[in-house]
Amino acid sequence: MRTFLVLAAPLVLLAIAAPASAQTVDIAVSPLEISTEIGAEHLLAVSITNRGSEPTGPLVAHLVVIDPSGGASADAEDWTGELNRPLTSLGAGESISLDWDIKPIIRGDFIALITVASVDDASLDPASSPAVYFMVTQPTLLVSGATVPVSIAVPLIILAIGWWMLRTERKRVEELVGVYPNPPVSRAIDR
Amino acid sequence: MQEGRPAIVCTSISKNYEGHAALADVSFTAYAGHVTGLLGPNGAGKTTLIRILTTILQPSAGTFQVAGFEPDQANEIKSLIGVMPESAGYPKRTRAIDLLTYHGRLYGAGREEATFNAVEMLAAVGLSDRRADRIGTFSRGMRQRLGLARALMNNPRIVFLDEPTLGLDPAGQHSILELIDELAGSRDVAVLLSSHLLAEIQGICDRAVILDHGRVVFDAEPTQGLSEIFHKVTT
Amino acid sequence: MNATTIVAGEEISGTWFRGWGPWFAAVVAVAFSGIAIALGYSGQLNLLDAREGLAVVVRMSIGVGALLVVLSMADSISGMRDRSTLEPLLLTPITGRSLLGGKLLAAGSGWVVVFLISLPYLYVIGDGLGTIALAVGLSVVLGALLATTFGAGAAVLSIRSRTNLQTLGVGLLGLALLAIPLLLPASVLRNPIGELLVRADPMSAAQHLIGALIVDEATLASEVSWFLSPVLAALITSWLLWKSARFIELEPGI
Repeated sequence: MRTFLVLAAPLVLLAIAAPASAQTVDIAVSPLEISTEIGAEHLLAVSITNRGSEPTGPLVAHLVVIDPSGGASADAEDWTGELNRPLTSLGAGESISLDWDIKPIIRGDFIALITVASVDDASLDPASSPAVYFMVTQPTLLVSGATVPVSIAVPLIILAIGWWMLRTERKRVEELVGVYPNPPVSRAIDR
Repeated sequence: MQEGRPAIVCTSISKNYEGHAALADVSFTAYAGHVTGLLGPNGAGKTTLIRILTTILQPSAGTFQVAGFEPDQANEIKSLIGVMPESAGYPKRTRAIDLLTYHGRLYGAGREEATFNAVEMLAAVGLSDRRADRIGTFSRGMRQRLGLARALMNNPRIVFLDEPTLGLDPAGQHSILELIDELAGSRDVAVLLSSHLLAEIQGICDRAVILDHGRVVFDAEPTQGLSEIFHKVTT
Repeated sequence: MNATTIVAGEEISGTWFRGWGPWFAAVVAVAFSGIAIALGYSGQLNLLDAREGLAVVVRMSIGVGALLVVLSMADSISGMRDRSTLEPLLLTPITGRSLLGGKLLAAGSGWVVVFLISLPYLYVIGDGLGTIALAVGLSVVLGALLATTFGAGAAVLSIRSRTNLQTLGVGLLGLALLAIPLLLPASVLRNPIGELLVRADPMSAAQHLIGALIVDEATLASEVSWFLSPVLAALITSWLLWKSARFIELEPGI
């Protein structure tokens, strides 16, 4: 699978990114390989640098998640709370660092990319980061051996306690009726 | 009629609600061992006056003494009075004896003592057989009798009864009034009985005060022209 | 036995021996069971790792407990006014503080029961994580702080409201406002004003603490400042209740 990813990634990059020579923005990302479980959160450290001699104008960074096998659907919206990150204009040589929270939600091997495009300048070609390889496995099941017995036993125990409380209350009422003799009607008023 | 110790001394009490005078310059005295009737049509200010005298409402002006205590000695007054408020609500799922025991304990009695008193009071108002029943199953008359029992749980020196027979059938009214009469006579308790029914006041009261639009228009023994004044007020 | 204890005892036996308490506890236990099993077996919920599962149970324990306290205390005075059961109590020689103290203790019993029910679930879900003690500790501390805050706040509202409907309406609106920071997008929460909003809101701060300490394994020392708003909120609402308890009236505003 790893070999397949290595072969597939350049094709994907070609499809998304503009030719390297046209770029004025460089994107570095770290780490480049992540072995993880479904649901685990990871932080991608992204650094975007303007290599050109002019300010870039407003930019937008975007997360792309690709399933190279084409089997499972990898919707990047489900992997992060912030699919797009608007950026202010970068001056010549200026850099900006971003932390990007990513949480894989399905099992498999995936490629994640950060792409950056100009918001209002069509002449600026989109740039892409190096590929980040995600190898996502199923997490350890939460359910321990005791979960099912506990989940059945606790409600039953609570019901048993509730039944005992009702019984106690019923006994108390019986005592109230039985233990205290009825006094003569006038006694209370006369006391 | 021989007057006993003053139990309630009410001096020039007024109460205003947003510019409207609910009570205006109300003065009267009620005595221990007597039943004093507080008579008047609906809205005359009877309930407001009872709430002021029982310290749960502040008067706008005037002052009073209840069992010798001033209005700022609310806890002392509350310890010595029993009150049956008009249309008091009851927790429906609570049993009659539990309600009375709880109230007895709030007056400082221990659990055993309060339970014993509750049994006695329920017997006194004829609810012995229903003492362990939930109040939600009681008729209106039974709830009124329960309210009277609750008002007596702390062995009070002064009892305030606000329309105690309201909504009861004639037999129920008779039974409650008999209990009240017995209470004043046998325990030297001062009873202030509020009602909008002339016959009720004439039947058991030693003294009557008629309130009309928050003002005292009659304060004497019921034999001294009570019915004429009352008819004038209500027509 | 003082008046507070007598009121608390009466309210507790009314709820747990004569009322809906046992049935409510059974429903809570069934809900915890459903979540515990779902966390383990549902494919969708397997998105959560064990730590997040543990956090879900802690949040549920605190949330359900606090909601129960809010509903009980919202009813404490204005509900009695509506049912005409307040006047006979005001006529007894107990103070407003004793009355409300007893009712708050009794309402707190609901939170305690929910917390106790959550314990076996915390144990099985947190098995092997080494964070069960932390989860229990957070449940106790944050649960007590939020239950106090919301219970005292609801009681103050209940004292000042004319009807129980008004208390519930204003109370639930307040809860909804406190939930707003939880709904804001991450980008807003990243800026200083967003973080301040979350820190100032005891509910959001508690939510953050559970996530940071249980899920992200942050150290207590690094997160201790997030306890500030839950602690302050509990102190302020308790003080307000202490002051307001003297003003319990049959008809508020008159």
